[in-house]
Amino acid sequence: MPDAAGSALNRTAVPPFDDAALQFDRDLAGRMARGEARALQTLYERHVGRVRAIAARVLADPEEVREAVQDAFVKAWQQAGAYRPDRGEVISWLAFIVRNGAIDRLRRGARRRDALALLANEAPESRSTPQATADGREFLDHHLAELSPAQRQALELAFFSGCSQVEIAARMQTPVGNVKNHLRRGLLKLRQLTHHHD
Amino acid sequence: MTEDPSDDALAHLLGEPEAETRDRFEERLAHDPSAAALLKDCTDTLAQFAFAAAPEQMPAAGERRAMWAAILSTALPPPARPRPSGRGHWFWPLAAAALLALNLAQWAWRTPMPSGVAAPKEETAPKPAMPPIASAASPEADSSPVFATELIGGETRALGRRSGSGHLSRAALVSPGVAIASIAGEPALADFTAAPALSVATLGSGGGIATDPGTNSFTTTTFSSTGGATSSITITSGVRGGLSRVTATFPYGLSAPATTFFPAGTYSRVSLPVPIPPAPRPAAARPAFGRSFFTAAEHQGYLDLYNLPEVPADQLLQLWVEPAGSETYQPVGEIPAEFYGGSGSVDFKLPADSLRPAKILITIEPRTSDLAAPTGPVVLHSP
Repeated sequence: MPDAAGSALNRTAVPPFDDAALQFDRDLAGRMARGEARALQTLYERHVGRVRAIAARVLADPEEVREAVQDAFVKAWQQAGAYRPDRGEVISWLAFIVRNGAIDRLRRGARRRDALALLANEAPESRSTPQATADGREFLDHHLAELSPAQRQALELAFFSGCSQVEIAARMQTPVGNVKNHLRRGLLKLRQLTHHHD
Repeated sequence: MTEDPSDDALAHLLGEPEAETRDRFEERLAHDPSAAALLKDCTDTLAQFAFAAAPEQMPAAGERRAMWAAILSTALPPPARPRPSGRGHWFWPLAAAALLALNLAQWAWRTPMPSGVAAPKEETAPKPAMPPIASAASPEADSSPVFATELIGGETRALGRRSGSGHLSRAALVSPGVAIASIAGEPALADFTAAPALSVATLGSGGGIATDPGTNSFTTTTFSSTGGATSSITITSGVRGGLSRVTATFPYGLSAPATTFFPAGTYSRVSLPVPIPPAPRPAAARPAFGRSFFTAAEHQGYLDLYNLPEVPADQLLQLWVEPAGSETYQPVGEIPAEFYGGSGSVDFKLPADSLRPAKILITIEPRTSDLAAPTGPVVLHSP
């Protein structure tokens, strides 16, 4: 195929929210819905590191982290036919699958109190993992830093600990109304920054 | 419903709303495009937040492989799953159950249980096998479809069938610490419950491998307990034709001194781990690596490439593929310059008359070259 020698290959960037990468993942989800297990394997290879990171933020036990990751991809396989692109990208869908599964595990276990105490006692900045990838660092530098500590803490408690707004209010020792504001304004700020970044 | 729709979206995403509120929001989603758009926006924004707050943690290769094996063992086929043959739904589970029953009987009769090994799980009807998922390890299997053959710890599963000159059926019962793998060669699958060529290999923790001297012989690796290490073991068929390898992964503390992991199926997977000779790059740069996938059904390959070197403006990174059955590399495209010094993914097509890529190569080439054959330093290559 000599004529292909000089032509640029089709590309998809590694960072998960690049347009080409998002389209690639949507194609994978479509193929999974048609029963192509190969597509699941590709999705797994592409995103297992990210999915694992979320599970590890929620769960302390490495074995539970592994099980949560496995469960997430099994669920993605089983529910691929119900995936709705109009409700979120595939990578976001995966993020919520693993997050919800990990939160369920957390709630089933006896470790929730410990996790909450750990999260509440740590400064938000200390929770970031040192081996952040380049795209993660960029987002941290340019986006998360724009959140107030309270906004970030509220979002982290909501996403990674599965706390209700009442529980977040108790942890942060602030009225529920303030928690709503922290969550709403934090999300709004992230949306603005993300769209500006795009 | 609250006054701010993003509150509802957040509550919906984080699983907080009462059932009544959830129903109302679902109804609104169904009729209000702006609500659906807002939900998508919130979903993607929260996911980006989560990925930033929890940066990627790529598991080690062994753990990644073990998790994938576990996923395979529990994933169920979707309703639209194509059947491997025109036989009824009942055939494969029934055939697998019959073979497993025969295997269990032979195993119990002929093979002493290694000491300290738990008894295998009570036999159950196997789950339907996954659709084709992995590539045949042997080149001769390339031209015919091969179905999934993962032998997974703690599961009763896996059937494979190879079309062609004969039939090869495989099934496995694997339970913590013990695995029984059986292979019936030559007879047609419909007759395999009475196959005279039936062989049974019993794998026990710390006990080596006992092989039933059936018509087929097996060259098997031995293994020992390592107290929790995850590993895999390869069983290689000997005398008869058919598939040359069966791979079982044991997440229950077994290891083999010389293991091989070959996914089986109709596509090829090639790892690109070692750059030789190393391309010029800064001393502090992380080594390049990549993963390659090839989907036979689409005749298309995918490459995920990481830590590519910087390349001078008058040079480029060229992707070469040597198709199976060929002895020459073919240029299939240029790696986009935006990935130089970084990472990225590309896909490529092979010539229609090529079976699959046998080798993959990425080299640094001058932009002025006609690129008939690789000449420059190798950045990545397949094993």
